[in-house]
Amino acid sequence: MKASPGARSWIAAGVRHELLTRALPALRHDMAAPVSVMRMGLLMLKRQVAAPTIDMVACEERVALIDHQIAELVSAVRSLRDWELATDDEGITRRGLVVQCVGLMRAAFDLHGVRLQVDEALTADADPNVPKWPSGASLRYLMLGALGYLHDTPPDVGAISVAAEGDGALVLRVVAGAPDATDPLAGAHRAPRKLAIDAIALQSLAEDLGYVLTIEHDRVRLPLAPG
Amino acid sequence: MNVLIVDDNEAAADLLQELLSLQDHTARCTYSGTQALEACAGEIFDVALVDITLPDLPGTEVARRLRASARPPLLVAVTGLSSQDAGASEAGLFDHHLQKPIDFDALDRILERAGHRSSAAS
Repeated sequence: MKASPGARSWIAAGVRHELLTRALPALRHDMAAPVSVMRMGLLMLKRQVAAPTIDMVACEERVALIDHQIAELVSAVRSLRDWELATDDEGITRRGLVVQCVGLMRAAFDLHGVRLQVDEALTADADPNVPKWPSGASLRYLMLGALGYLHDTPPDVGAISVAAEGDGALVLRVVAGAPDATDPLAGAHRAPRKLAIDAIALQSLAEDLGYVLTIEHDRVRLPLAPG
Repeated sequence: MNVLIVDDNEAAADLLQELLSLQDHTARCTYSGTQALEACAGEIFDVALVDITLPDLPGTEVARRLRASARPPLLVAVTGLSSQDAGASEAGLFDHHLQKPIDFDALDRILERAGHRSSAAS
């Protein structure tokens, strides 16, 4: 039975949900860290103001620390809008896309023994004149989808490399090899997922978002402009 | 208790050190996996609180090496990762797992248990 456009959109929505679920731990980490510091800072501040002699300088340092952490938390909360497809976004540079998505997934992939190798040229100092590509939210989902596909689908994934192709595309490739050979438990960590991102899932996502991905067994080409 | 804190968030590590010191524990901060391994080479710790996401080495790798040492500390994973990944990280590597932000009551219970363990071992 051929899927209707409606069904395909539902598949894509399901894939986006799965990808966001995978990114959530790292997003949550970005919010938990300042909360953690604020809570500990407040505990210390309470003790300081309850002391017989109040050290004003130390108290001011605590307040400044808490203030800084609140700003970090606000920034992390605002960044959740990056994932709303319906929101007009400012677009995203290729470098920004790679840094954000690799940063979100690196820890989880590490635990599964899969390293992420990013071409240094991609993450070199940010050039303020590089173009921003429209539909940043779509590109984030597609980048995470490509990483997820290469993580979940081919066997013997040792690493995934991310490199630029021309000015307007990224190529992600599997670097074959056993999951991190230095960690005997790494292979065990990479248990099959119930909701693996396979080629059909990734293709459905790309079509729904209006992009033409090239999906091969161990390689994905991601154009940064809709097709 | 002699506690090793491994966290690249320096503000969080330093504050936790202060809080543990107020509870009469000795705590040492390290801000990377490499620093943590160096610290353990020259000192015995009863407990290691290891952030899973470190800049240089995965926290699991730090735990694996500490576990292989002559007198491994009680290993506690501190993470904001998903329960699935946390479960994987616990597969024989960690003795306990704490979610961020840390539940201090849970940490106190772990330190209490570590105290019993150290007493029994000595």
